[in-house]
Amino acid sequence: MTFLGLIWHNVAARRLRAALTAGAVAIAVMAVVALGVLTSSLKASATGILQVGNADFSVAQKHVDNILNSTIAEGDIAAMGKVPGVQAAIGALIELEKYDAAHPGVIQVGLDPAAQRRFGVVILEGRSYAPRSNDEVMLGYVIASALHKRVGDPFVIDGHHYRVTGLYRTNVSFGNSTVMFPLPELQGRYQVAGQVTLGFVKLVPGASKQAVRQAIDQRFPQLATILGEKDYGRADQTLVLISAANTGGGILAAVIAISGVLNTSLLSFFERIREFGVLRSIGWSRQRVIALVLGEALVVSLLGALVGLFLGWAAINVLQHLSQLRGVFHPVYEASIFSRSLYFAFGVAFLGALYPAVRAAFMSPLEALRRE
Amino acid sequence: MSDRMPAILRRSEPRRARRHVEGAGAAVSVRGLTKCFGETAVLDGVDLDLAPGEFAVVTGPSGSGKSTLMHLLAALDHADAGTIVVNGVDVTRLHQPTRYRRFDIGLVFQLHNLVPRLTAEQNVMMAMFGTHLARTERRARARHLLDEVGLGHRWDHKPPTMSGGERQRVAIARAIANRPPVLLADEPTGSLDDDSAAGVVELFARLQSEAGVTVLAVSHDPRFNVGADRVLRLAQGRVTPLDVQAPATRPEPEPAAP
Repeated sequence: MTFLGLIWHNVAARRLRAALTAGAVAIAVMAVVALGVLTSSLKASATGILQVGNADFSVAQKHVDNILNSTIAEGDIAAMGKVPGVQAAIGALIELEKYDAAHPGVIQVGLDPAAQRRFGVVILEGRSYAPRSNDEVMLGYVIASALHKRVGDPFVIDGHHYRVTGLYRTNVSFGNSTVMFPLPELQGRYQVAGQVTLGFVKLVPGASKQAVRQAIDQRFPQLATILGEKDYGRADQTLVLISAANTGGGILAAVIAISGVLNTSLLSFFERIREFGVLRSIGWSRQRVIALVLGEALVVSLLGALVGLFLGWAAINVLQHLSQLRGVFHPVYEASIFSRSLYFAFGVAFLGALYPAVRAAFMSPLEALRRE
Repeated sequence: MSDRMPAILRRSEPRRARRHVEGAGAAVSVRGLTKCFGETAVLDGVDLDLAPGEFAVVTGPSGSGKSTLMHLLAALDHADAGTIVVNGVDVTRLHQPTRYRRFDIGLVFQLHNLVPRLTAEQNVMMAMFGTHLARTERRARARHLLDEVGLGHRWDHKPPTMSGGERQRVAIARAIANRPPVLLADEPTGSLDDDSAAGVVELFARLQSEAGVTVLAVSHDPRFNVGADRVLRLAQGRVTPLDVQAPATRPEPEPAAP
C-alpha cells in the first residue's frame, strides 16, 4: 500500500461521510462555476454591445445606472467625427423591448443604413431597410431563427408592425441576437429624437488611440470613452456590481464548503485520536500525519469539485434556457473558471482540514493513546 | 510458525552515525530516572541496564510505575531527572523522537492498537512509511513478518475478524517491521487468554534468542518470569532484581547478522 493508497483507503472506509462532505464541496463549486460563468457571460454581453461595430473604442454617457440609459446627442457624434485622428463616428440607439413571454428582452438597435458596414453588419439574406422607413426591420440571424422569421415575414413588437427586409450577422455573436431598425423610426418610438445611446469611433490608421480618447474626453466631459471591460465602470457600474455579487457568492460558497470539510475532518480527528497516537508512537512524523489528514480532505474536495463542475455546467444550461435571460445570456466558458474551481477545492481542503491536521500531529501520543 | 527466524528479522548494522554517549555499549541504560506526578515520585532514581540481546521483564504492583517507565523509554513522555540511553541514543535529550521511535525501538501495547479498517498486512506496512523501502519491499517484508508470527495465511484479514492473540501477534509484527534492536512491550499479554498469552511470550523469547532483539517487557504475567533472562521488580519507584534464571536453561542468543 502506498501513502496515496492509504489516503484513498481511509476516504473509502467512510463512504457516506465522504460523500456528504463532497456534496457540500460540490454545491459550493457549482455555485462558483455558475456564478463565474454567469458573471463572465453577462460581462461579455455587456461589453459585446460596445464591441459591435469594429470600432476602436466606444463612447457612452458618464455614470448612468445602466449603459442602455446612456444618452448622446447626434450632434456630439457628428462633432466627434471631426476630432483629429477620427476616421468616422457613428451613433446607435439601443433599446430593450419585450417581444413575447419567451423573449422578454430583445435588444433593438437603431442605425442608419449607411453606417451598417462600419458597424460590422453583413447582410446574409434580403436587403437593408430604407433610411427613413417606418415599417421595415432587419433581424440578426440567431433571433430570426429563434422567432422562426424569414425575409418578407411580418414582425410585430411593442404594438408596431414591420416587415422583415433582411437577415444579418455582426462581428460579435451578441449582435446576431439583435433587431435593427432605421434610426429615426426607433428614435420616434421612444421619443428620443436626435439622440443615440452609444457612439462608435473608428480612427484613421496610425492615429494614437490614447491621444484621441483624451481629446474626446476633454471636449465632451459628460461622455466617457470606453476601450474595454476595464473602462466599462466609467459609464455603467453594473459590471462592478455583478463582479461584487460573484465575489460575495464565492465567499459564501467557500464558507459552506470549508465548514463541511472542517466538520468532517474534526469528526474524523476525534474518532481517530488513538490511531494518530499509535502512528506517532510507531515513528510517523508530524508532517506525515498532517499530510494524511490534509490528503484525505483533498481527495474528498477534489471529488466534490469534479461533481461541482458538472453541476455548474448543468446549472448554466438551465439558466441559459430561462426566458428572462434568453438573448442576453450567452454562456462563456473560460478555462480560468474551471482552474479557479480546482484552486477553490484545494483551498477548501487546506483551510477545512488544517486545524484537525495540526491537532492530530501535535497532540501528545501518550495522551492520544489514553483516549478510548 | 517457522522454526527459525529468517534474516529479514535480523538487524542490519546501525543506520547512521551516532553521537557517543555514556552507556552506549548497553542496549538499554537508565540512570537515576525520576518521574513525578504532582507530589508523588512514581519513578525515584531508577537504574537499569540491559545487554544487547537480553530479555528482561519488569513486574510490580499496579500503579508502581511500570507503564510510566515504558513511556519514558519509548520517548512518549519526558523524565523529570535522569538519563535513558537506548541503542546509543540519549532519549532524554531527544527533541524530535520520530526516527528513534521508527528505527531504534519497537513498541507493543497492552491493547493491540491496530487500525481496524486495514488488513493485517497493511497494519504492518504502516510502520514502514517514511523508510527507504519501496512499496513491494514493504509488502514482502510485511508478509514475511506475518509468516514468522504464524499469521501468513491471515495477511488479508482485518483486526475485527481476528482473535485477541492474533491481533497482538500482528501488533508484534508491526513493532519489529523496521528491525529495531530493542523491543518494548507494555503488558503485552494483559488482554489475552492463556493460550494466546503463552504464544506471545514464546514469540518474544524467539525474537530474543533467534534474532538477537533486546526485549524489555513490563508484565504481571508469570509466564514472562520463565521466558525472560532477568526478572526485575519495580516498587516504590525503584527497580530491584527479583529472579535470574540460570543461563543454561536459556538458549544462547544468536549474534546479529552482519
